[in-house]
Formats: sequence, C-alpha cells, structure tokens
Amino acid sequence: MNRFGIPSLGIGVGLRTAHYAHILEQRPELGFFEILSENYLETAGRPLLFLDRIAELYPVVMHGVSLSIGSTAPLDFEYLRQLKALRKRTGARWISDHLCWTGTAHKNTHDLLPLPYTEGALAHTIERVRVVQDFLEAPLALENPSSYAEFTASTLSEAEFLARLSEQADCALLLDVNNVYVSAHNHGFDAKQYIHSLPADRVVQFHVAGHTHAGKHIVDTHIGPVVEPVWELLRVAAAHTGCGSALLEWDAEIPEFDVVLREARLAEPLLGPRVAA
Amino acid sequence: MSDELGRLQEWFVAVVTDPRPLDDAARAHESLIGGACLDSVLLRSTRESAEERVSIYRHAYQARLVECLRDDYPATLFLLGEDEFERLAGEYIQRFPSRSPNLNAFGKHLPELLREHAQLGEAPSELATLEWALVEAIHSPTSATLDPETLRNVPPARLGEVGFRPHESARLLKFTHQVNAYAQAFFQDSPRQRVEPGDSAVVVARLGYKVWRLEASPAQATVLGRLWSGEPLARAFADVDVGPDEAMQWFRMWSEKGLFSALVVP
Repeated sequence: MNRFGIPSLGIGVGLRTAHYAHILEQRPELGFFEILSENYLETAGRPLLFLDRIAELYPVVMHGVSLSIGSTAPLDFEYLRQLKALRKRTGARWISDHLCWTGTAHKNTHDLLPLPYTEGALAHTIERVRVVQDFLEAPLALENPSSYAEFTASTLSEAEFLARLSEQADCALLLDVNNVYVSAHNHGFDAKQYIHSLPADRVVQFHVAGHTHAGKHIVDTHIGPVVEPVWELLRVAAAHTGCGSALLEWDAEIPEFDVVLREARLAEPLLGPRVAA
Repeated sequence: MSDELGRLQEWFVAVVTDPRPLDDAARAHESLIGGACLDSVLLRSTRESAEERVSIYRHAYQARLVECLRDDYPATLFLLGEDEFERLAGEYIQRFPSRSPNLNAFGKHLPELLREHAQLGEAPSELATLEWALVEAIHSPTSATLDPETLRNVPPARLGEVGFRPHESARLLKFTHQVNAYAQAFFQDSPRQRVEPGDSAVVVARLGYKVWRLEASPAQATVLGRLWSGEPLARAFADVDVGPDEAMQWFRMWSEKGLFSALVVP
C-alpha cells in the first residue's frame, strides 16, 4: 500500500478516441481509464461529451504531458486551473505528468525533454511540485520519462533525482517500466537497480507499453504488444512496491479495443493484491 | 542555478526547433551556452554521439507537429501531395510555433498560410478552411439546439419578425471552388485529383456527436447569411425566389441538423 492511501484500481487502459463508441456500447469490464488531460482542455465540445459518459461508468485518472514541471518558464496557472476543473468534472482519482520539461515560455515542443540531473535542477523542481500540489489540491504523481539524451552537467542518476524529488516534495510516483527499459537501453544503466532505487511506498501506478528499436536506440512509441523483458520489469516493480494499478498505453497503430484490453490483462497476475476503491 | 538551467533549456529548445542542419543550428545558438560545443553539453552514449542523440529530439519535434497538421487536414494533404504538404508544414511550424499546452488549435492558421502562397491557387486554402471548420465544430460548445416545434408557437402574423440565432458550432462558408464536393469524395475513399472551380457554399455544424457538412444553394446561403447576421425572417427571404413549402423544408432540414440554437422573438 502506498503512503497516500490511494486505492489500487487494478488494470487500466489509456482512453483513445478510436475506442469511444465500443466502450460506450459494450461497457467492457475494466478497473479504470486513464485520460490524456490535454485532449479535454481548451475544448467545450465532442471530446467532453464522450468523457462525461465514460467517467460515469468507470474510475478515471488524469495523465498529462504539458505540466513542464522542470522548466524554468513560469508555471502556467491557467493550465493548472483547467486541470483542476477537469479533475472536478471527472472525479479523477489522481493527476500525473512526467519528470521533464516541454519548452520555454515562447515555444512548446510538445515533447518530454530531459533535465540535467543536478542539485540545482532538483531544488528548482521540488519547489515547483510543491506549488502545483498546493494549487491542484490533488495527489500528483510524476512519471519517470523515456529519454534519448543526457547532460554532461548531471551529477545524480535519474532514479536518485526522482527518489529525492518525491521524498522532499512529498509527491507520488507513476513508474513506467517500459520507460525504464527504454532509457536503460539508451543510457546503459541497470533497469532493476533503477526500480529498486525508488521509494516503494510512493508508487501509485504503473505504465506498460510497447516500443520500437530504431537501430542504435529504442523509442518509446507505445506501439504493439509489451515485450517479455518489460513484463519482467513490471513483476519486479510490483514485488518492490505492492502497487496494484497498472495501465497499458497503446498509441500507434491502435488495434480494436478487445486486443488492447487482452494485452492489458496480462498485467493482472503480476500485480499485488488489490485494495478496494 | 535557475539562470543556468534556464540558459541550458533555451539552448536545447533553440537547437531542437531550428530547421537548419544540426551543425548550423548548433553554431547559431552556441552563445546561449557560452560558446560551448554540443559535445561538452550532451553526453555521448556507447552507441551514439551527442549529435545523434539531439537529432532524435529534432526529428521528433518536426514529426509530431507535422502529424498534427496531417490529422487536421487530410483532404488538403491529399490535394497538395506529400512533398508539398511536408514543405508547407515545415514553414508553418516555423511561422506559428505552439505556445499552448495542447495542440487543439495548433493548425488554425494553415488556411492563411496557404492563401499567402498565391502560386497554389485558391483551392487549397479554401479546402483547408472547410477542414478547419470541421475541427472547430468538434470543439465548439455542446449547447441546446432549436426545437422545430417552437416555430408553431409563433403567431403566423408575427412569423416575419422572428430571427434565428445560429448554433455555436455552425459556420456558413463561401468558396470559389467546389470544395465540399472534393471533401465528400475524399472522405468516401474516392478522391479526386483537382477541386473544380465554381462558386459554392457549405454549412458546417455539430449536433451531438455528429459533425455535418451541408452544401447550400445560392438562395439557401443568402437566407442563412442574413438570418445569422441578425435579420428577421421576412428580410432574410426578401428577393429570394422560394415558395413557402420549400422554405419550410429548408427550415426542417436546418433544424434537424442543429444549425439554430434559439428563436429571437422581438
């Protein structure tokens, strides 16, 4: 059990537009849906029509890509206000985003850019996490990113940075074991050691996904089924943390919902005991 | 530290988003990191150089935003062809970089950019205008539409004074080409090679989950245009050659498609 008292939701799937109709017609049995928060911001239309109906039927968690928690650009409080309103609308159990930054004040790359893991960047990010959590009045979970570059300035490992950040800012963690696999390959660190370096009682959710080998590096494409080494990392992570909420992300060449759900359910026997919501 | 981190981030974004070859981009922005070279800022891995690693982000930046434009403008993409669309998308990304947390409105200036490229003719920008109206309809508020039965409550003698407020999702678009016919053929998987010239008008609206495209005749476009600019019914139909039965058919169809939100009774 995590230290926040956040319940385990079992197996979840990322909510994608291609599956809206199927979900509403078939109402498949599932622990929860994770929504990509930004898809439901700055819209008053059809996406919210679907989301409202799905949130009536399933527990929802919110996952974002634009918090830009590590950026030196000022926090975007209008964005945070919209996140907060969306959480109220959906009753989302928690809000997550990534340990990364996405751009400067003048340009959003819409990518999850790597941070230099330094004492200075750590202090900067801790302060921003505290402000964001206070504003959102909701549990915030930060996800370990997949990355393709490292800075020479880094003096801490990513796992150490994330562990200290979560402890000192008192936030939760979303452990993406596919990202651990991808980054371990790209940067040459030990994936299992990375997982064991994280504070077990702060992990409230797992991500699993497929990826793509691109020659010299692996890209976190969220395509296709999950490979066995990633399932093995989930097994390790579940044993380390006891977390009982795991979600499959499938974002490229998205198959029918039943295929996604069948793949997601492969996580079930690997998780710890579920705690009733 | 924040200043140092800020400079590093400014540099990284500048290099990642600069469309020039990497060497030129790195040189152009090295002053942001005190003239240091790429190798001294980014680690090489056992398999990849610092240049290769930053190139992954450079490629991803362009690819993600081009993909967004492809999603919003599939018919325009087909009309222009892959190479021309990619070239224009690259120009677009430089001219209109995203500053928003999401990409819902990222593509809204493409019709404007296409208009500026006079050598393309008017058809691509008109087709893009139609496709953007479809995007806007998706994201427009889901508000109530006019119940056609409401009209029955208006005394016949006062019908001419009544106005019709357009639904928030509704747009009336006028073109010099047959863009809706082209879009219709494209979305029905029988795309055409060119957009035929000729004046046309299209109404776009969303009713619940469904986004509609309706071809409007010149007379229908005149009436709708007048109504939506606030003219009452009698003035909207002035000089329009249409009988009462046909007019009622129009209203029934327009109401069923959710083009109106309310009656305006003086």
